[in-house]
Amino acid sequence: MKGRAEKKRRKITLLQSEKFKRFLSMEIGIEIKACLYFSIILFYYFLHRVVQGSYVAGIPVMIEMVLTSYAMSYLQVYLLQNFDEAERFGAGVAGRSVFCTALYTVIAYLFRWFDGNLTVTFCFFPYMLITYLCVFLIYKLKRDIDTAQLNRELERFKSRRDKEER
Amino acid sequence: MQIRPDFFAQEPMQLTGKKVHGGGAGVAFWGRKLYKGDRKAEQDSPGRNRGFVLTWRDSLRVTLQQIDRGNEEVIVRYRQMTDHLAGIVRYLEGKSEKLSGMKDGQQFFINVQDILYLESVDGVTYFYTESEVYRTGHTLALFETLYAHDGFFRCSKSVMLNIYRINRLKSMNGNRIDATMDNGEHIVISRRYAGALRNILREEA
Repeated sequence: MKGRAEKKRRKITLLQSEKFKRFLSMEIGIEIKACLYFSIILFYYFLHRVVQGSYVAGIPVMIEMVLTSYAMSYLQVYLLQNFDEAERFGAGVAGRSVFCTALYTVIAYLFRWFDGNLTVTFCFFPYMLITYLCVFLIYKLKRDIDTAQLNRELERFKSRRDKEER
Repeated sequence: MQIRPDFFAQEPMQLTGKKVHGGGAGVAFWGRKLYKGDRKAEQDSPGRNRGFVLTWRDSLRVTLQQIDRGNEEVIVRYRQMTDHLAGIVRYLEGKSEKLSGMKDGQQFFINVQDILYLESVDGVTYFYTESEVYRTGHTLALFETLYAHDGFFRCSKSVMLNIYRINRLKSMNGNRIDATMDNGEHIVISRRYAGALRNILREEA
C-alpha cells in the first residue's frame, strides 16, 4: 500500500517536473524573443534621438519598450502560433506580422516614444514590418543551416557502417 | 569461450537482465541439467544446489548453479551493456539478425536492418518495415538494450527509430527534428530527444 502511494507520488512529481521543464523552455524562448525585438526597437529609438541632435535616451521610454516587447512576445508565442518561426511566409504569417506591427505602432504613438513625431511614428510601421520579415528569414536560415549539417552527419554516420561492413 | 550447443536446451528459457553497481560483470546460469564443460571447473559448495565457476578469458565470470526447484533462467549482471554482453544476450535469446513478428495471425521473420521504426501502443510493440507492420513480443526497453549499437534510437517515449533507415532530417522550430524515413513517413523527434540524436550522429561522424 505504502509502495503504491510512493510510486504514485513519484509519478506525479515527475509529470510536474516535465511540465515545469516545458514551461521553462517556453519562457526562455519568449525572453530571447523579447530581447531581440526590444533591441531592434531601441535601435530605431536611438536613431531618432541622434537625428534630433540628442545623445540622451529616456529610461521610462526604454522600460515601456521592453515591457511591450515582452508582452508582444507572449502574444506571438501563445496566441499567434509563434509565426515568426514558421516554415513558410504565407498569408497567415504576413497577416500576423501586419497585426503585430500595427500594435507596436499604436503603442509607440500612445506612449509618445518618438516625442509625438507623427512622421517618425508612421515610419516605424514599415520598419517593424521589415523587422518581422528579417526575423523570419533569420530563423529560416538558421534551420536550413542546421538541416544541412544534420544531413551531412547522417550521411557520415551511415557511410561509417558501410565501411565497416566492407 | 566455446559453449557446448547442447547446453542451450530446446526448451524456452527465461532471460532477465540486471544492472549492478559493484563487482564484476558475470553470467549466471540456473538449470536443471548440470553443465559439464570441457574446461577446468571449480566445484562450488555441495548440497542441494550445485554450481560451477568458470573463469572467462576476458575477465567475465561465468557461474553455473543447478537447482531442484523453480524456473530455469539466465541472469546477466552488468555494469554497462557492452557489445560483447549484448552479443551474449542476443545469442541466449536465440536472436540473430532476424526478428520475429506477427501479422494476421502468421509469424514472420524480418531482418533487423529492414525495420524502419518501432512503436509501442497500449503496451503492445509494433515494428514497421517499408510496407508492412508487425507485432512483436519485445518491449521497447529490451529492444533498446539489445539494439542500441545497431543504430536504433529512442526518439520519444513510445517510438524507436532505425537511424540507418532515415532518408532525411529536417530542423524544425523549437529545436525539434523531422525525420523522413525510407518509406516517406515523417517522425517528429521532440526537443528532449533531438539533442541525443545530434550527439549520436556527432560521436559516430
